[in-house]
Amino acid sequence: MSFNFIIILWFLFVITPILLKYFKSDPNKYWPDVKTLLDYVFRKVPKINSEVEYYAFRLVLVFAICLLYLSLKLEDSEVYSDTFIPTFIQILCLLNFAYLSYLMSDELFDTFWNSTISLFSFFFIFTLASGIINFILVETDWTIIWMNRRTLIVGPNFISQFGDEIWRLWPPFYLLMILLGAGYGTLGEDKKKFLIPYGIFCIVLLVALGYNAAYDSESKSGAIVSGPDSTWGTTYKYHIFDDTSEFPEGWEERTFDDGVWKSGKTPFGNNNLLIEETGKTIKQRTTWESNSTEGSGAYLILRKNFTIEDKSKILGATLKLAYPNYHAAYLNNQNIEDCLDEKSDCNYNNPDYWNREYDIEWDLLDEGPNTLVLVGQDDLSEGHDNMTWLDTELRLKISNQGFDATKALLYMAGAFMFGLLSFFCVHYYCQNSEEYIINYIQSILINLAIISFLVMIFLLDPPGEYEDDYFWNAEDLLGTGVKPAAWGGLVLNLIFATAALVVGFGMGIALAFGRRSNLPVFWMPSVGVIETIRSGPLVAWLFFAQILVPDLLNPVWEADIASRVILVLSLFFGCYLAEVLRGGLQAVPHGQYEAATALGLTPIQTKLQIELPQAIRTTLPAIVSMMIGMLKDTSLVYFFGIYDAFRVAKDLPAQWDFIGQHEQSLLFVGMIFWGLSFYLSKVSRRIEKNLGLTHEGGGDVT
Amino acid sequence: MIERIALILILTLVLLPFFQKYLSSTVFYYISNTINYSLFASIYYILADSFVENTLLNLTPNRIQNLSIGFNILPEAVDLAWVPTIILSFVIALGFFLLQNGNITPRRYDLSIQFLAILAFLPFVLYFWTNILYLKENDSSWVFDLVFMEEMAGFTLSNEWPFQTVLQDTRWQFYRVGLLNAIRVVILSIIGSTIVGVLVGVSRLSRNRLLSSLAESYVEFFRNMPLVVQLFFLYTVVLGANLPTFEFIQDNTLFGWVYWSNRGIVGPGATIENMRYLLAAIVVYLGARTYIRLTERILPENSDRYSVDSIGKIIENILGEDQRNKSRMAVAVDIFFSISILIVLYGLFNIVEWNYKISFIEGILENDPISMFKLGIILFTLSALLRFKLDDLGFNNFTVDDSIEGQKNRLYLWSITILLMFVLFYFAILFKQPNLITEENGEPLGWGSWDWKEGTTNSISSVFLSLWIGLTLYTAAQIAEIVRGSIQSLPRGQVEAAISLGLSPYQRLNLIILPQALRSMIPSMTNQYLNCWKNSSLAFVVGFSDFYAVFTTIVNNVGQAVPVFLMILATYQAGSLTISAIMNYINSNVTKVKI
Repeated sequence: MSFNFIIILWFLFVITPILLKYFKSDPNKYWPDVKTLLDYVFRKVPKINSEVEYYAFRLVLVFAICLLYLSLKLEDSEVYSDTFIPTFIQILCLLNFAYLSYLMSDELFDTFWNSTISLFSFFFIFTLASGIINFILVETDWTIIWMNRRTLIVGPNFISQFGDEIWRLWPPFYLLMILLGAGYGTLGEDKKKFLIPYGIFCIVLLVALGYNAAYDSESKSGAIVSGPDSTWGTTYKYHIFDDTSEFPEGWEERTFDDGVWKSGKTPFGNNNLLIEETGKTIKQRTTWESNSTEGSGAYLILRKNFTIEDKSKILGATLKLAYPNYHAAYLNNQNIEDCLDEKSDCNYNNPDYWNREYDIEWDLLDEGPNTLVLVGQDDLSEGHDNMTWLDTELRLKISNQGFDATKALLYMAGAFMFGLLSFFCVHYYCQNSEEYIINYIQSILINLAIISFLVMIFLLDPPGEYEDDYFWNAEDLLGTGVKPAAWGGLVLNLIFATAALVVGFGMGIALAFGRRSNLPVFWMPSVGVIETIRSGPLVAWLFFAQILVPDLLNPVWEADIASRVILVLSLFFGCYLAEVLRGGLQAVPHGQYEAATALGLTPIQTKLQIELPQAIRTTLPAIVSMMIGMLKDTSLVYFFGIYDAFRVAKDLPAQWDFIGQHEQSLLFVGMIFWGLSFYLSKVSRRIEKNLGLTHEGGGDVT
Repeated sequence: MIERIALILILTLVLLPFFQKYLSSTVFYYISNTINYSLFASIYYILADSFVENTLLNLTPNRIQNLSIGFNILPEAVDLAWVPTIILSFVIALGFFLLQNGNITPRRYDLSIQFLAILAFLPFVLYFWTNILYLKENDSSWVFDLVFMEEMAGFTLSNEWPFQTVLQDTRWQFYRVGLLNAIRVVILSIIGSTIVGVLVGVSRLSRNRLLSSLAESYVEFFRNMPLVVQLFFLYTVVLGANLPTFEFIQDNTLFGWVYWSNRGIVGPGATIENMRYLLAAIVVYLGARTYIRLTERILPENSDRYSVDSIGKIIENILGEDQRNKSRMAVAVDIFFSISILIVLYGLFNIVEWNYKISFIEGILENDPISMFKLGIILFTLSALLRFKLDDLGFNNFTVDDSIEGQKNRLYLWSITILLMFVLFYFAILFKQPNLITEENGEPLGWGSWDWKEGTTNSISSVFLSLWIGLTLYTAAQIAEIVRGSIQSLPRGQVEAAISLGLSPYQRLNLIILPQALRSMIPSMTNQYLNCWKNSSLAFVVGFSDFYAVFTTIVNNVGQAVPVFLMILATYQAGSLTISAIMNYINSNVTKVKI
């Protein structure tokens, strides 16, 4: 749907009735405006009663989007793109949207400005929607994400160096699911509200983990069995025969014994080959000296035996051949090409380098020993003075599917089962309980959350490295673990955010109270710290953490970059929290403080138990939005060599198979962050509603 | 060893409530109290131990050259550092225990707790102080002088306007260019994001469901996506991959005046051919404004002496009793203000045109653009202060003639002014078409060496565009939320009263809702503008040289990280204070009238 179409619609059905109004008293009799047009078009459609209107609306909307997707997919395919069918489906989709606007036509098309805004914003929405659907579902190749999903979650170091240490992340995942289920269970609301999103979440994650996206890797990432630079070795067993009648029995079969033959490396020739097109010369490595002077020339047979240990990783092979006059190729007794006699497509006089390439199917290769046999014939005709040449390369295409997802799928399904179980148990218990029991359970869950975070850190990097520092050597039990410098991916972002938030909360509360104090020993340092840290951007403080903090702290604490980053992030968050809490603490009525003092509470008790809860309650929306901002800001650490999710996404397109595919990886990681932030802001809105902090109404309609 | 003790204490503390019923309450109280305080003492010991040890290590002789204390700490004493730490932690725990018992006057309580806090922080403060002294002598990053800033920089920058830099420039020049780059981006982003943000925020509350859902999805999308990802995505995908490469630049043009490629947008070059006509155009505009202010001014009527400060009294003494002096004074201040603006602009244009390098003021009478600029700024500030003073005294109240003749007169006046200005601008500024040099001495060059002829272009690089658009979109989403919140916090009665008065929706928005809403959201907007200023540090993601990127390069070259870091902080703080001061002035201006 193009912009011209909308302009035409606008002129015909919005502008013209307005103009007609100046000439005719009832313009709708002569020319329809948008509302009457819609009424006329959909006059035969039966009315929907208000009970099912909610579902009918959404159903039609989903149907329209499906039609849009279908039309875009068909337009992109080769079979249907020339026919009328995609356009037809798009017209159907537009009719659906027109029906939706008919349902809402009282709101959308009553005044001139309303109609204009509706038409143009509909155009905008439609273009955006079709662009998004086209990009995500039709056009783009998302293999980069499927192939690298583990790297995005845990970072490249885990995959390359510590691949078998991923088991350390499963217990925290189980704990997280249990806590999540239990947390939602304490809310005591209708079961369906949790189960439907939870079910969708589980299914999406299971599909994402288990989806089998095998693909053909580019030939440069395969393994070379035999060729100029190979790991399998370049030597062939060869022999020169004068005539085909001299070929021994079974020369092309695997079982033939070629032990007595000579060994040589390709290329075989007796002249360096000059390729005229490029002007380059290629040296032979093994001389092909044939003594025949009559007939068509002597024959050279090459044999190569190689072993494939794990056939499941191989997708196929390619065989390249630079051939002389007549040639043939056999792999594992199967004939790939037979040009030993003069045939219609086999007679070429000039040896061209690398111009025959054969695709070898997976079935032709065997697990275990394989044999490649090649035959080439000398070329004596017409003044070619034995320009005999034979070179070959066999390249295996290796699948990039690095890991076996069955075990991981089982673990993940187990975690989801545990989450569901804990939800049901806690929900059943909390359904008919008093509120104070529910609060008690929630506080237990919070403590469990902190403990599970510490358990995760403990499992990932068990102490025991320094013998005199730790009184407990856990490395014997749990292995060396993975150092924080090797952590990465989305898990690292979450670890940073959680640690910074928890530590930063303590710092922020201390700084807030310190700032409010009357005693100089407390407020002077607090004000100094808060104003200094708030003056610079987070990037500057991370730069400080990377370069200057080691100088300051190294004699006392050899902190690696992850710990320094957490320290600085928590300081940063603490200062902003202190500013927000300052406003909240000022809003606590002074009478509370006086009453607490009259009751005999010590200053610390009044601060922590009377003033702080009231302050946090008032400022909770601001605090939660700052926490969400901190989660997003953890993506800044990429600049300091830490492989968080953003850095991984930035560097993924450097892989040979996926060069230049920046959009997919960046959008994917962006959408992960977006999803987390969106979910957390929904949670925060719910918290605000529970605390009674939102106010409905106000001058809302503009 | 201490860690084991601490762990045992924690375990006991956790398990103690289970044994509460077996113990009498006083015993329980004493046990739990003791365990609490000894736990506190042991944790303090664990934390402070290495700090004390390293402080003592730093204080041994010959470690820090410039420090001379009265006594010598022997190196053997460093091994006994646990002794002062134990004493310290014991004293602090005891102090808190004694404080808790009560029976202390508030004044003594305050003093005691301050003393205890000083004692508690003592190891850490001493450690950092001595460590910094030690680092200043032994570590090159901590040498605090700014000599390196006057040396040759040795690298090149991108996106310089209006001052170009060459390889031999000092690092101060580079800092200046970076600072101007950042200011440019931030001012443009603030303006753009305010406009877009207010528009989106208002549409969010529209009655039209399509428009409001569009606005809502915009806000939700851009608010929840990290800024780094947005900037990088804009730079690599939108502006990097989707714009045509420089090789095909001759195909992507708008009538030969504007070219676009993935290096940026190139527009026509503009030079000021004739400065007099330009200044004449500005004189025309300012003259028209002064004339209007003259004709529409209402002077304060009574001659009571109501000003209290010295400047007001001086003004009133100058005015005397003659009423016409008042209007003469107001017009004189207006003309003074206009002249100062002229001088500022003259200096500014000359700086930009001549590409002048920094130097000190050499004399106001010489035609030195920098000094003219500085003179202009001084005069501007003085005249602005005078005008504010006159505002306070009531001299600048205006009436607006809404009758038909009044509107017609104003229309004529402004149309003549604008016409004159266009004509003068046409003669003053010369636009040149961008000229692409593709050959050298008759030989065609490869497209990698094509370049534009000097002086024919004004370009916006794609780097600048991506940073500007990214910052604008992100900040606009935050501002849209603020606008929505402040509009929703208005009393509903305002909207109902506007409807009952028969105002159209546009009038309702313009006259009732926005004035009140904009007033209440200025503090939150200040916060967002400060965030925008600090977010401009992300320019290094796209490769834009703002001063943060320049400083990180300098640190990589020179290695003196501490003075550079302090300069970074100082610059950001200066910018934040400026923005806060301007917004506070606007706030006080706008909240003078209580609603």
